[in-house]
Amino acid sequence: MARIDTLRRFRRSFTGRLMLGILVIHFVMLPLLFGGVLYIVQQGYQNQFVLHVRLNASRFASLIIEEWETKRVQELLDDAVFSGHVVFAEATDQNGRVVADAVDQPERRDFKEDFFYDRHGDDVYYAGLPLVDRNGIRRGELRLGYDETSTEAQIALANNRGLYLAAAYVLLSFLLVFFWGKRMTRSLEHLRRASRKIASGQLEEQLEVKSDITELQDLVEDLNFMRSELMRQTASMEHLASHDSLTGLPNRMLLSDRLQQTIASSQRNQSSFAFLLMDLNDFKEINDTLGHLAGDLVLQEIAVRLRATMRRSDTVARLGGDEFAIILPAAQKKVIEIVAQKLHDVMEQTFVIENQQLQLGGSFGVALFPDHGDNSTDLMRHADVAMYEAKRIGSSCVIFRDDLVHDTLNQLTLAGELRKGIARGDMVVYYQPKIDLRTGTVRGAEALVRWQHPKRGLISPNEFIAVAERTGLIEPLTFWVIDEAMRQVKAWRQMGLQLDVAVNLSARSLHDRQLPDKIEDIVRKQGADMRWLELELTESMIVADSLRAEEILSRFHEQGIKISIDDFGTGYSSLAHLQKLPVSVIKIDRSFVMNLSDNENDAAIVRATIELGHALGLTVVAEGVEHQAALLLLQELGCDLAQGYYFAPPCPAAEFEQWYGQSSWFNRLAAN
Amino acid sequence: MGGRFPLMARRAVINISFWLLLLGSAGNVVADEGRRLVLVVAADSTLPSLDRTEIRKTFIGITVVKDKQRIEPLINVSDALLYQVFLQKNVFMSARHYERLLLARVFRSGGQRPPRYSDHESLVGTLKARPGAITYMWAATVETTPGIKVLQELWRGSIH
Repeated sequence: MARIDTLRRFRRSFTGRLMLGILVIHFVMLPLLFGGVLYIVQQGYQNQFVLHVRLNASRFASLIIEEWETKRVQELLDDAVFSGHVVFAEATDQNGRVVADAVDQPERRDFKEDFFYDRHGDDVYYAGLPLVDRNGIRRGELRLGYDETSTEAQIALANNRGLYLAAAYVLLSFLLVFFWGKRMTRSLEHLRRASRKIASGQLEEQLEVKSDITELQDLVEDLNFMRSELMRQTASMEHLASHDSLTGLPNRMLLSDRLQQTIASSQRNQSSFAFLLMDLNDFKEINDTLGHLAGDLVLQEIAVRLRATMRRSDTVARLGGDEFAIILPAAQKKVIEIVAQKLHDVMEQTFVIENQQLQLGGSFGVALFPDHGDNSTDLMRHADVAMYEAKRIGSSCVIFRDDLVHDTLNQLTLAGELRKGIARGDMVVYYQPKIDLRTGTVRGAEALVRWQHPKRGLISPNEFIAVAERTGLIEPLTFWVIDEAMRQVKAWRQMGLQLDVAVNLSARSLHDRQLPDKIEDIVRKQGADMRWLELELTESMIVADSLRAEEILSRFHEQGIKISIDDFGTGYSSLAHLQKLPVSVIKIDRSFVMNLSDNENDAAIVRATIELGHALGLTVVAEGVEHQAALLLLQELGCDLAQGYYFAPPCPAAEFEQWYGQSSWFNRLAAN
Repeated sequence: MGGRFPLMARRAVINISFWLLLLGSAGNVVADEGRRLVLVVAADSTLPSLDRTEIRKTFIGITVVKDKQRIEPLINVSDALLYQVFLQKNVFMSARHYERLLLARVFRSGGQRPPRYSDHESLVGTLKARPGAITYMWAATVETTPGIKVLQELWRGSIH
């Protein structure tokens, strides 16, 4: 079976095909070639024989006629037969009577004259010559029979030798073709092995074949071209696989590899290194407001800045989205602080994208090897926790601490519980009244959400709002608060309390173009009036995406919803821009109000803000009024409304109603 | 099967035809007893008869003049048997040797080889047009060809 397979393979091989081709060519050509040659040789022998017969017979006839009278005719005929070539001789007179005869075998007496070689198939060429004397008188006829067998033997010998030569020729051809084919296929075999090497990725070795065959040289050249192209493409693919296509920085895969190498190297050298994770602040807003192209440009610019800031030995990578990672080999804690400051400064520099100046920032989380982990998983996880903490506390950089793990876990747990809490109805709306400083009447209330946790008790918004914003729960939470507040304000109005209610909007909510429609649906569902609702936004929310904010605020204005700028004075708002927006209220931030009576600067700011608000036709509300001195000063400055603990802390609706019923602010303020 | 039969039939017809032709030609040979090979000239030729040596000389390319007429041989190759009988009985050479001899003589002495005719009509036409021209034919052929005549008999005998 193996032998059959070998034969089959050989038959399909180049050498096999070559030999088969030669065999077929010889099978067709050899009979023609050697057949032709043998035919010519055979014709030559036969013609030579016929010539010999005719000449010899003619001369013998002349000899016989000379001796016709001397009775030596019989002797001459016998001599002729004895010579061996003539096997039959007969002389007849003019009447056809036999005068003399000689024959080597009795059966040769059957004289049938031949005019062609081997005409009768009897191995004898019979020829008759007239015996004519000198006077031209015919005296009889000489009949001779010549042996054809010697010529036949010569022809047979020529045929045999021709066949042997043909066989030898074929054999030699086969051997030559076999060796030639092997020699040719040796180069091909070499190329085959080389192509396998190329296929297996061994691309470094230049192909060389010792052959002067043009096609093979061309093939080697083509294979070398293919090899170099593969090398180039492989390098390109490797680069693509290990680098971020947008920024050109190493990607997560390469970072992981570098991290492993750095860990191994640090373990060997007993040195430390730092692993930094950075997440951009407000990058999502850029993407959402200016588009992904602008976001991409920001990321590219950040990559350029980071590369320019870091050393060549450091690894800067992009993990995806707006998350970057940096490996700082052989870095001590002091160095890290310096680097973190440098990075912070770099990130704080203004980005100019599509002719817009953008202010970004990054939150860095740092994990140190080996203190915070001796493997890449731990280092990445701890750097992530530190980054999360930096984001949470609003710091640019946090170095990992063990207690952060607990905090992070708490945050994660909190997110899960918040989701359940909203669904379960744990959330409670507290109301803080807003007092008219001229009349002392309660003009409205600010709705503030609280979380009545079944186990942990009341949770401050400072603890869960940030979580809600990070997890996207802020949107359903906002809608819930509006729903609850509108239900409540409708109930109050039915009770005779002519109050409006203010609800804080999250920056995230402004990304939703359907927000006005959704709010309208909620208000309508409660059977309330849109004019009873006031939405509070911060300056930064409006500035981040002024176009969208303008669009949405205009919708609110059309719907009858009042817009209030919360925490006024803490952001970077453009007053010229603010003037164009349908804003009706500004709320002075509590940080200015709290120390109003003690701090002249704060007083100056509050005064300017009130005057400015009034100049723009806006109602001015002071937040954080906690003592009488501040209240009196605000009254003096002409502030319209105020809220704060001095009047009432935020409280549940029932308490608010009770407070409202017992409130004497009308009389007290009127007395001032 | 139906497709193969006509092919086999065709082959059978071809084989039978071949053997019939062969047998027919053999029958001709067997029946051809008493043939006469004759020397032929144009009917209006005044050439006298030639002896055997003169005939042989003129046909191997040697110039022969008889009664002031230069004899011009015409080689008749229209019938292979006729040609071989003529060579065997008069020239005493094989066909190939005879042709080589004529060619060698042209190379050696110049002039032209005796013209060869494989077509009977053109042979007879040339014979009639040239007074000194001679050729050989079977006597039976001469009898059916007008404008030519037998000059003398070259051989008589049977062909088996």
